[in-house]
Amino acid sequence: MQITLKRSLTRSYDWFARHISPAQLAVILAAVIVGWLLFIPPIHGYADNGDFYRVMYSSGLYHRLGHTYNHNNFVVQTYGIMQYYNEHRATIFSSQPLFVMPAIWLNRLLYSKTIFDIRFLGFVYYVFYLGGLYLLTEALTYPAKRARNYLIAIAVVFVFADSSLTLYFNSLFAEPVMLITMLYSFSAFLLLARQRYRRRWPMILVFFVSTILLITVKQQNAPLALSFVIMELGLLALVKVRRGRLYVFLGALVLLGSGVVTYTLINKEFSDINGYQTMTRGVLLKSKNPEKALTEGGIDGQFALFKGRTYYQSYMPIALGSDYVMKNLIGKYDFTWVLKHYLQHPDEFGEMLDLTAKDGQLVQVRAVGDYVQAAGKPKQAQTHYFTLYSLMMEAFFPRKFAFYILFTFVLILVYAFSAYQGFKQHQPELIMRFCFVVAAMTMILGVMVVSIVGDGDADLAKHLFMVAVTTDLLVLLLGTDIINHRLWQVYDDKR
Amino acid sequence: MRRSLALLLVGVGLLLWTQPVQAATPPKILLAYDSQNVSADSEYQIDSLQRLLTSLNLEVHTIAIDQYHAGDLTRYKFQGVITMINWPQTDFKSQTFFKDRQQFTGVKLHIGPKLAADEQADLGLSVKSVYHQQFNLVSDKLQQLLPFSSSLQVVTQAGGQVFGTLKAQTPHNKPQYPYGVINGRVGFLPYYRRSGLSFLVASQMISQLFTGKVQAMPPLLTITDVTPVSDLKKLDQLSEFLYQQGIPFAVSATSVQFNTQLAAFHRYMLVLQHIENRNGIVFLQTPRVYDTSKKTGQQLGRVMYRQLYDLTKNQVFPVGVSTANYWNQDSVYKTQALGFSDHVLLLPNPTDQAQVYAQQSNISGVYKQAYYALNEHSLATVKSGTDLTQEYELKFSAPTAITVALPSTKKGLVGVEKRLKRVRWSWYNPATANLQTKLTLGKQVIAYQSGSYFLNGQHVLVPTLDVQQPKKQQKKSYTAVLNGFFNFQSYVLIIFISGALVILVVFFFIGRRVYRNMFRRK
Repeated sequence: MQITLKRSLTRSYDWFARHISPAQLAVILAAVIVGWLLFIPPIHGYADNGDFYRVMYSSGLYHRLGHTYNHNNFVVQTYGIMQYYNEHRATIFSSQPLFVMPAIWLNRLLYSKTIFDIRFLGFVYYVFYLGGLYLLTEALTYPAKRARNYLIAIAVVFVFADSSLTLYFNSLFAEPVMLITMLYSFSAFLLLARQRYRRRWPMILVFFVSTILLITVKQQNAPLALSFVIMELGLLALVKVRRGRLYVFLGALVLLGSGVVTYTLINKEFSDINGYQTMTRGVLLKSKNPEKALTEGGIDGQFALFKGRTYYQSYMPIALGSDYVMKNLIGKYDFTWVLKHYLQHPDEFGEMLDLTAKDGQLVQVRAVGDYVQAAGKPKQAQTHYFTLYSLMMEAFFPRKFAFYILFTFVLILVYAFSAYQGFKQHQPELIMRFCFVVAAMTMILGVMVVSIVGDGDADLAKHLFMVAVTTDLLVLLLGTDIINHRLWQVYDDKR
Repeated sequence: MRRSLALLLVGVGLLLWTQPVQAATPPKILLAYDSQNVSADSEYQIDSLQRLLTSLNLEVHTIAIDQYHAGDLTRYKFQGVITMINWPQTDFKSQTFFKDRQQFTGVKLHIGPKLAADEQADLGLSVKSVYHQQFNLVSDKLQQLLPFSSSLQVVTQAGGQVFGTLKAQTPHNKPQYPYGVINGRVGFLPYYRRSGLSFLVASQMISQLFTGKVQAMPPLLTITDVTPVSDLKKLDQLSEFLYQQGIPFAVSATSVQFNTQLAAFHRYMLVLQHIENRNGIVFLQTPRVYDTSKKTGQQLGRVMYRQLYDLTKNQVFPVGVSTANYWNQDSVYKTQALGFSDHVLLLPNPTDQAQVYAQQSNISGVYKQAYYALNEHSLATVKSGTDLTQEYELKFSAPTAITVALPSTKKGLVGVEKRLKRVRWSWYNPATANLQTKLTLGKQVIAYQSGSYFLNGQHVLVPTLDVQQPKKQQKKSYTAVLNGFFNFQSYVLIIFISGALVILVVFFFIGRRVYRNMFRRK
């Protein structure tokens, strides 16, 4: 009896394994879980926190007349599509419209020429995302063919189908682009390292395109170019001919260039806002003597009164866009001023970094609602559908910057050992994986430092989005490498 | 019995009779304009006119002519109506306004072209249009060259009272036309400007038409752009200079409702105290509002209360509130920010930022005294004509505050001092002119009377010495129980991982030795 049961179980597993690969399983599960969240009315998403206009007007969308537009409280499902000449030039330089425009075309083709349903944008992201999840699962499991790979697939779904991430799809935030391109970039890189496909160029193309899209989608991503260059140089392990190396260096230059372009094209208004908040929500926030901090740096100590204020705040004594504030405050310091201040006051810097560490794993945007008004939920209501992973990370991931540093060192140490083996045994996979880990660690620490120096603690959790995503990828990589016994050597079927 | 009742009634009657008469409701004026004509900045002419009328204690209701409903003039008991034409090309959808105006028996004023036949008949004058000319405005001994005008409707024949003369700058015959004309209860101005001699003459004419008299008041020198983040050294120097020169003055100063425990705030308070001790008075300027919601009124009320509370705590006693004019056209702002003061200083609407209303009413609030803010530049920088700052006898027909922006550079400060030194007219002195102001803040009453401050009727002295700053209180940070757990957990993990790291390194070396020993020949 027991034997027949076992045999039938084995047979059905065999049938299952023959028909559905782990990657396919991940895609199917994620499609159902995320699809329900995004498309079945009443839909879920994120409400506008005031940033939507940046992409809305440049994409030719507007708030529908006669419909209440709920900032923060409720998700807005439909927008008007501009019918005539759009006078708004791109408010920001971003790759996000590359995703929004196809969604609008699709909407025009299938739904309406005048009204845009946000679900079309969600759908575009959804399709790309499922593709990304397929590649990710494939990269994490290849070339192993064993039952535990289905566990890995489920883990991928558990981590990446989390609603805190996918709610972004039904919004005009730029984060979905960051999430999707990061998945593609990482998966393509790992698939290259593990030599999944006979032809390399498609994955190389995917890697470069997605990385450039990621760097150019948001100004705050410009510094990430440096991290991706580290990762990209890992490709050197893969190429053997001299010309190939030249291409790798050229590719590094292209990535750097996209970072530089993104940085230089920062809209002046946004850099002023960020500059202001760097001071008021950063330098002054934890300063024991804010007046002194300013006067030491050659700024009028009276501006200490703005301590803790954000830019768009009513009841201020002076217009923040005025020439006076520009000349005497915002124009008086820059990135290096702030960095110097923090290096001179390491205790304040430490406090600020701990503040970032606290928000590091906070992905679900708490300040805005997740429901449309028709759902009948209270204002700014949060959904808890499929958010266990993000809730766990939020609650249990240590909230100290020191922990992130330790985490970095441990992972680098672990993977450095395997890279050492890779050099010895001529295994490019191990070297490339190490390059990714180093890049990911610089990304995590870099994003934390840059968000403090670049915008203070304003909008912190959103600025730290990449920290959470990168941590998720690292955790998955580490976990799957341990499960498949490939942490310190390449995969071997016998183990 | 009946007699005593009658006595009682008489007594009560007498009592009622002797009760102070309630402040008379201010006369209502309808200001109807055709278009804001933004391309010609006409919205600022409307703003200026609203402020001028408010400073004459008139309640101005502003509407676009197309918004007028038949019968409004009589229904709302307007005592005067002003027709302001900013864009002669405007097509009107209905003629009801013009019909009602024709029937209207109150005071009428027409500003700009398109003077209707009935208005001409009422005024007893005839007009014609002149094109492409430049005029010199002359009034008494004063004259000013006006900017080139492409077309102007001028008065050729006039009866009644004339204010100022327009002299054409043509090479041959130099025709002259009257500027402001009043005939009985009807008036006409060919154009309105918010600066220079044109404004002064127009304000005389408007004052005469609507109040029946032309006052002659010295202006109040007012330093604007004073904020807690201003260059306080410059402010202190300027106030010291004015004190030395014997020039009484006011400042229009903003304040903050946050971070008042910082030394920076006390420095600001100290400088304002110095100003009070140097015969300066303080108007609290309203804060900037970016956006409004249903809660704005409540929030604004709290903000103003908090600011005034902190100011009075530091012996800075505002005599009134200063604000951009559009605040005075908004029912929420009026009640929450302006209402508790009986003296208001009306600044022009800002040109560099949006006017954010909470609830636009377009009915101006009226106060015991409202000052019309007139930029000092608009009098001094005359390309050709009389430099008005050099006139001993220059008088203003409405309560006027001549504003000077606080300079932020040394050069600017020297320039301002030089210009103010050159001014020949005498300034309004609140200490000697028996200025009486009252600011009611909840149960507290802050009053100013001829140079002295009173808090709830008690005379208070502004300290002349720098007061010591109170010691800062350390804020206790609140920590939740669970936070403690998570902090603890963080530390444990850090220690655990550090330990694991050390052990890992040790094992790494041990393992390496074991591995190497495996291959070493014994």
